Amino acid sequence: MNTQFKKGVLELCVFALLEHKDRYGYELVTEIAKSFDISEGSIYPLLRRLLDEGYFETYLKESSEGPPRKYYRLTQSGRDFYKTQKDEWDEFVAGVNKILGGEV
Amino acid sequence: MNKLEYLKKLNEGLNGFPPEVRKEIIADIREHFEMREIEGIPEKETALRLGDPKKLAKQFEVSTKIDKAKHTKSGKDITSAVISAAGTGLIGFFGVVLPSIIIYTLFVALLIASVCVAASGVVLLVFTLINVSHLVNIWSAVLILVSVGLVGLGILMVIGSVELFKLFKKGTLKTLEYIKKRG
Repeated sequence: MNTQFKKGVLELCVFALLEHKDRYGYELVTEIAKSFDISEGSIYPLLRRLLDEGYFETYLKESSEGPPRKYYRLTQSGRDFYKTQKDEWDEFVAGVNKILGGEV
Repeated sequence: MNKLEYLKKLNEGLNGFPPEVRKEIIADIREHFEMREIEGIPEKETALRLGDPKKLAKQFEVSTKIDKAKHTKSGKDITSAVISAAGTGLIGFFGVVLPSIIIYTLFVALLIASVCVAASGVVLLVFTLINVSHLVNIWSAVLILVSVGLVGLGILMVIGSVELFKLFKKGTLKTLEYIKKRG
């Protein structure tokens, strides 16, 4: 798959996973790695970039097992960004499906 | 490769980063290893799944660079961004490149004019002070007042034109981003 395209899709997935609940980095990575054949490491630079962009914020939370975990939370600007990205994606998929389904 | 070897290689690859960012990145990846350990997955396998540490360091570098270009403060990077927009076709040329050249020229002219105003004030002040013994008191007072006023006005004009330029830079970046998104 085209790298730029893949990056955009992975980004969208991270947003979707954070939409309804905060998650820690490792959780995001394993969830995404379950569905795509990617090197797990590549999610971390993505998280860092979105954090730098102000779409996410982080906080530490104690856990029953192991050290405190770094949780990611969507900011308002993250939510706004996700909405426009998702709309674009839906429109894109609808267009592709229409052509693949032979409706055109 | 075990955890320590992996983190060491990653750390080497991150040498272009400020120490605190480097520490944060290493901590994130170490946490990843620790979580995997809890699940009973050996370090070797975790390292394999994470991917080549050198490549990972590179990915961090690339994603930070995109950010830097966006928040850049120097006009040089903007210039190169504008020049690269020339390659984005007619919208790029008429929407960004042409207006940019015109506004850059106007800005430079404005800046030179502002510096000239301030400089004329300084010259007038020096002239008045040198000739202060030959001038009637009231005249030297007026001349000093005028020269100080000119210096002040010049400085204000420099600040104003720099602010104006910043505003324009922001607009250019927005337009560039818009074009990039559409392209």
